[in-house]
Amino acid sequence: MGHDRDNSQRMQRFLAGIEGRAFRIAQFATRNRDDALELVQDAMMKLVQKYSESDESEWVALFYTILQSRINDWHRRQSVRNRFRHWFTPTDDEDAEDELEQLPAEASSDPAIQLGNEQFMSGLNKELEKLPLRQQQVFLLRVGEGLDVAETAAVMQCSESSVKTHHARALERLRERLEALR
Amino acid sequence: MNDKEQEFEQRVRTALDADLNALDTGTRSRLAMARAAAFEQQSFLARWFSVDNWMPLTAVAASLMLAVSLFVLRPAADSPVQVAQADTDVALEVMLGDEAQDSVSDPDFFVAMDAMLLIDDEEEKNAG
Repeated sequence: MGHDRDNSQRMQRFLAGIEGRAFRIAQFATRNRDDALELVQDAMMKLVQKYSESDESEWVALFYTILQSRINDWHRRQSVRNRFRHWFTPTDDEDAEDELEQLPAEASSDPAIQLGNEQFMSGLNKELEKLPLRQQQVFLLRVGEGLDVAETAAVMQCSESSVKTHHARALERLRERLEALR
Repeated sequence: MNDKEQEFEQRVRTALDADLNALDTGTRSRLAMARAAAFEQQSFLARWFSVDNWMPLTAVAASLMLAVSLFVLRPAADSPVQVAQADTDVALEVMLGDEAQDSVSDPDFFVAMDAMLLIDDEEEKNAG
C-alpha cells in the first residue's frame, strides 16, 4: 500500500516535470492548443494506467513513445479529413508527398532579422513549425528533452541513422534560417 | 557536430527553456487538470477491478449457478418412484376422505380396493 502511494507520488512529480515540454512538443506537431492538451492527457493516462509499475528510469522514453504514437494517430486522422476536404475542394496540387514527412509547409513568413531573445524565440517557433514532422520531433526530443540517439530512435520507432539524419537536417535548416537572429 | 552547431543548439535549448517558463496560466492549469484526471482514472479502474469489489458479485454469480444447476439436474417428474408414491397417495385419500366413512363399514369396499391395487400392480409390471 505504502509502495503504491510512493510510486504514485513519484509518477505525479515526473508528470508535473515533463508535462510542459510534452505540451510544447504536441503543440508544435499539431499547431493546435486544445488538440495538444488532449494528446498530452491521453499519453498521461496511458502511462499512469499501464506503466506505473515500470522502472522509473524508463518513464521518459515510455511517455514520449506514447505521445509520439498519439501524434501520429492525430496526423493520420487529419490526413483522412483533409482527403475528404480535397474531394469537395479539388486543387491541382495532387502530387503531395508523404504527409508525415512533409507536413507543415505553411506560407513562408520571412522572420524579421533582429537581435534579442524574443525575436529569436519567435523565429524559432515559426521555423520549428515549418519543419517536416519527423525532423521537428527528432530535433525537439534531442535538443529540448535531451534524449540520446538510441532513446530518440526507440521513441520515434525508427533507426538510429534516421534519427541522426533527421536531426542533422533540422539543425542545418534552423541554423540557416535563424543565424541572422542570433 | 562542430563548435558552431553546438553553440547554436545550446542557444536553442536556452530559448526553449525560457519559453517553457513563460507558459501561460491557463495552459498550466489545463495540464494540471489533465494530470489529475489521469490519476483519477487510475484510482477508478483500481477500485473497479479490486478483489473487494468483485467478491460479492462473484458470490452472487456462484449462488445463481448453483441454483440453476440444481434446477436443471432435478429428478424427472414421471420417475417410477414418484408414480408409485402418487398411487399410494390416491388410495390413502380414498380411504381417509369424509365420503369413505360409510364405505369402511361395507365389506364390498375392501374387495373393490384390493381389485384396484391389483390392477395398478399389473399395469406397473406391464410398463416395466
